[in-house]
Amino acid sequence: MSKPVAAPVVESGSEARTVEAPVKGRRFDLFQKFPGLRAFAQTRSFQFLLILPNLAVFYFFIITGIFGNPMGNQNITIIFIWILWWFLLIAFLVPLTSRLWCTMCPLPAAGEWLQRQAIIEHKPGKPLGLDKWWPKQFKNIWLQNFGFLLLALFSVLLVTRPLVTVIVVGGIGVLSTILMLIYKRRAFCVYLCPVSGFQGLYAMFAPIELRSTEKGVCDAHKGKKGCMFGAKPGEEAAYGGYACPWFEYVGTMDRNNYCGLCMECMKTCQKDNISLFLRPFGSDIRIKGYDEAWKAFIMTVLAMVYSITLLGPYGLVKDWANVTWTGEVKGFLIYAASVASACLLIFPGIHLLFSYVSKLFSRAREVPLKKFFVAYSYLLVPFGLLAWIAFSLPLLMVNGSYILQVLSDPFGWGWDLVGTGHFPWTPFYPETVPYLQALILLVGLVFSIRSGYDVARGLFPQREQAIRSLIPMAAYMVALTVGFLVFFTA
Amino acid sequence: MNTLDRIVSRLALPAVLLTLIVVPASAWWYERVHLPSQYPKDAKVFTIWYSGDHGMTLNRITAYNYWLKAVNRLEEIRVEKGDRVILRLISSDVYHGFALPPFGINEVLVKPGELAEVDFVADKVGSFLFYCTILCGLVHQDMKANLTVVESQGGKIARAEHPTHKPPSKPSSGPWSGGLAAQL
Repeated sequence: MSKPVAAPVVESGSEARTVEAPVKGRRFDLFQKFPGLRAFAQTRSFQFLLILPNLAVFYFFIITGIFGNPMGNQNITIIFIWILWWFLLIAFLVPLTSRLWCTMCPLPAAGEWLQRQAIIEHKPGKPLGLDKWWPKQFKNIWLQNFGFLLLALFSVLLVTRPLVTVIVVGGIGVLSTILMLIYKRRAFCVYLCPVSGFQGLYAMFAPIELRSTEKGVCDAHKGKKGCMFGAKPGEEAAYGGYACPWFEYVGTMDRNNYCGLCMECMKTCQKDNISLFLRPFGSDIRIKGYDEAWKAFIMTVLAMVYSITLLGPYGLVKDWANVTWTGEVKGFLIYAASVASACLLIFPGIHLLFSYVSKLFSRAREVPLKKFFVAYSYLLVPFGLLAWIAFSLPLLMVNGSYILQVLSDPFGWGWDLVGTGHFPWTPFYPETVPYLQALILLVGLVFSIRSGYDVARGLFPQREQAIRSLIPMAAYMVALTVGFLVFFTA
Repeated sequence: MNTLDRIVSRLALPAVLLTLIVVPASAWWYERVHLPSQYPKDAKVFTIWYSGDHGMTLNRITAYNYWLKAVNRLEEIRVEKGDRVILRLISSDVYHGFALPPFGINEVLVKPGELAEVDFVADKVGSFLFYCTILCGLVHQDMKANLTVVESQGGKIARAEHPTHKPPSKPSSGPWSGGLAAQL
């Protein structure tokens, strides 16, 4: 992981308290309140039971994506993955449940089962495959950043052509399986999966966290810690299980970014010192390095790019992006170069400029510009997430009626399974979309500036200096909001 | 392991394997067994797939062969005089149309995402042109084929006589021999 550059502000995961009530500081212990949920999370079957239905569904989508109708709106693969699943992921799963999708994601399941040589049981010993450590130089999320950006450049094809979706989804499944037989644990999910990357970033905003109940217990625990090394059932741990597949040590984990909520640590903790907590939105506010900062830049820019190419009235840009249909190779290259430049250079450059102004306003010569740049990139986390929700909402409202149609006719072969095969395309109150988008963006702006204040207080203990530092960044976020509003309402 | 784990542990692998089999098998059963059973046994049923880029075809147009451009254009459908003919018309892209004027079928709209059906009795011998009635794509002008009605031969006209398609590997009988089932 990248080296931390900003001091943690809200150490919600490190509050050591010895109170009986589920409310601990700013956290509410869900597992204490709902012991049945805790018992389920501690079973070895927990993750499998969540994965299995998704495996069936995504396997079906692979089949329909190959053999079904080539047109996106007549094929369940496109409608369910890019309208329904995407909306549920970005608007509910990530903002409300952190990385719960990673818990139930079927794509790396086969690789993990092969690696462990078991689906449910805990089999201690050498895993199947080469069991290598992930290369040190790639222990960051740059590969995820570039991977997601690359997919985004072909997004118009990806979200409209079932076969392209199959190639990408199937490719992720195959690649994860291969890499799990080469590298340890879920290295693919942590360092390579393009979906994992943005989930990790936006999971910082989510109101749940898996953490140690009392940090002091982990500190005092000498010897092999179950969450780091795995544990056998019985003497070592109550249930037994593998070392954290996400390479986390729960004792020091204070952010959601790289916790896949697989609950493996719930089974291996010898001290029974891990729980799931409810917390305020946006409790993790520490961006650790440039890789994460750039993830925030890329995601924000892409929310705008998608709004232009998929929702906007800009025909020329749409034609350039839709290269296999129009054959505009030159146009596509211009489009791709523009998007990549905006994500990797222009927008980060603007952020750097405002970070510099923020430094000037704060009059803090001793604080390096890098610290402003990285710390304030967090402002793009709540804002970017809400911008993505604002972008995704019309996809569901305008095209949601296709869900009923493809539910009856998943292949686009003229079936009518549940009587909705002829349900006409019916946009759901499309005239309200710009107002809802504006509202969502404003919520994002409020969260962004609110958490910006926490970030500023992390940089400067004095309130006045923190506020001075925040002013340029707040203006920058307001300008960004206006920019999005222009594109959304264009 | 607790009781739940013991049960799930035994069932996990069979459940995964069953999923891998049942999911495609269900689709196959519905398309190949259930759907044909919904049509009258005395009818000859053909599914005609429309594509603005590929024309009309009896090959199922899928996401896979659409991009490979591996579909054969329909040239002729053969039936016997007196056959009840049901044409299932499916668009794989945009709005198309269907007309077969000699049988009183002047324009049927073939909407994307909706199955359109034409049901008639081939009560006259000859070769009759049917075509797309909506300017739909690059090959619209080629979206035409013949319905050839021959004198009754006791149900011998089968798919093998369609010049643009390979004969079925195993001879089949019944009303589906020249239609939907043979295309699968």
